[in-house]
Amino acid sequence: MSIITQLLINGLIAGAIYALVASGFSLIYSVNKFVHFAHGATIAFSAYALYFLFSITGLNFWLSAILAVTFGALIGLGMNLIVYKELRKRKASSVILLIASFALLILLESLVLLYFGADVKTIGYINVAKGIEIFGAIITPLQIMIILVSLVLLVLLFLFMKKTKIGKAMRAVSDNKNVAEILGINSEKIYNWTFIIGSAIAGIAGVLIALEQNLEPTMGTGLIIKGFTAAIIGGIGSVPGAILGAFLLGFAENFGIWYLPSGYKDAIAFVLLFLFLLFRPNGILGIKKGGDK
Amino acid sequence: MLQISNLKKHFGGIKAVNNVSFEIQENKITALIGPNGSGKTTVFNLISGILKADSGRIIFNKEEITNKKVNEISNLGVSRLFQQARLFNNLTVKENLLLAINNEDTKFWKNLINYKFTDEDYKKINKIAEVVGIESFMNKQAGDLSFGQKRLVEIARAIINPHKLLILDEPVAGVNPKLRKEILLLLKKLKEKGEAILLIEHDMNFTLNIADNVIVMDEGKVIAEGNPKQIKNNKNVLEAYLGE
Repeated sequence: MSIITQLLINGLIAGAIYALVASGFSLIYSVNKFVHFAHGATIAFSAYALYFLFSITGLNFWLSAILAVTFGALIGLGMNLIVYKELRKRKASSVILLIASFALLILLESLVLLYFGADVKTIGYINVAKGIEIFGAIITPLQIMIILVSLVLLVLLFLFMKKTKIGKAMRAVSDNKNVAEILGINSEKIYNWTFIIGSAIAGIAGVLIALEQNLEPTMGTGLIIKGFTAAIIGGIGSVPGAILGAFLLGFAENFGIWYLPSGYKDAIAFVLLFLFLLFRPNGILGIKKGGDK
Repeated sequence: MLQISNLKKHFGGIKAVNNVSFEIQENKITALIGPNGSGKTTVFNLISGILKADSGRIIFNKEEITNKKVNEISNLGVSRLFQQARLFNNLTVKENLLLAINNEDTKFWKNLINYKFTDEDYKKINKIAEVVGIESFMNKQAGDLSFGQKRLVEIARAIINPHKLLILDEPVAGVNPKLRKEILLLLKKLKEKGEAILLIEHDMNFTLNIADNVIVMDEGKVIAEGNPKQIKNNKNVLEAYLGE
């Protein structure tokens, strides 16, 4: 019994983190129509920003966290303005943008490596607290916080997309950029806002992950692969799908290691990714392509 | 209100639009006709900014709009209907119309604070829905509609998009005769309200019934211009359509 609840809780925590990564990634994908792998670097940058501001500079924790998230949003916006926008102006295809995003991911990770070094860093804001026992499973207050923050954010994102005018404009550009422009919607502006919002969510993910796990320069690559897998499972281009996929992935990984050695966690994710790409490339909630023109 | 002068657009060796000049006046319906491939839709794409002109000028309301951005031209008051159905299929009909209603969608902070559409916005779209006859499926996903229904929603959207000039690319293509009549009446009503309308249409009956002024294009050039009667009896036009 206690093993099941423990795995359930672990799956929920992993799912919450993946959902934050996948929702921002999926938002950017659905509107901009290319795979922004450098989203992983945004997470790493925010995590390291928190480390720098809080652990090195000694700033107040909450102020550091807010600055780290803001920094993440600005990094995302910067990538769009400096690299992607310029490439779009030159009529670059989404494959070129994809390759550019890989280049950005490697570049930004290398910058982190250059400045902070390869050794693992810890934030150490929260002392290793005694966990709370629920039905024989242990969960720390920070982990509860991670799940709550992630759920609240995802609900807010959903309301933002469904209810606000700008959310509707985003869905419009995502659906058909040319028609949106004919109606007077400035698509470049909308692209900027998706990068700001998506990257801010990545920033929050970065802060939470920095508190829960250790920091490494390549942490973003691992996370964006999980986020990408979650988005594929749920249906690429659908933000709710990405969130669903993230929790499924979290549960699959954690229930998988009930039978397998824990080192196989990543393998489980990749097997899922392959299975979905082979048998259900549209994902669970994805929209079929070429159905309606 | 719209002056086009010496407009040119080449695609490789093909002169899609070759030195085209014409003018559109307020309170009038102008029809652009011509055989397939004569460059009509290219002219529309140049007016709405989707294509960039090689040379020539487009003046709208005394403002040069040649090669301006698509959304800028739209916000200056040119509303366009496409040849093929192009609705936002993942949005409801109502949302499709609401997006067209003003140009404030991209003002982020303003929208966060005052994020809802006003009662006035809803009144406006309900009114247009009634006029066009789409009120029964306002809450449906646009992707689930039939071809004719989509067409009506698109027309409603083009009308509700704030504009001074309406450019319609084949508004009644594929639409049943009864609806055709309704759209004809609707466009006449809009004209009476003082709107300028430019349309492309293959249905000659429809065109000659509705247009005050007809411009005929062939092989990228304007070959005739005049009222429907003059056009009917124009030799160049007959040649362009029938060959010879």
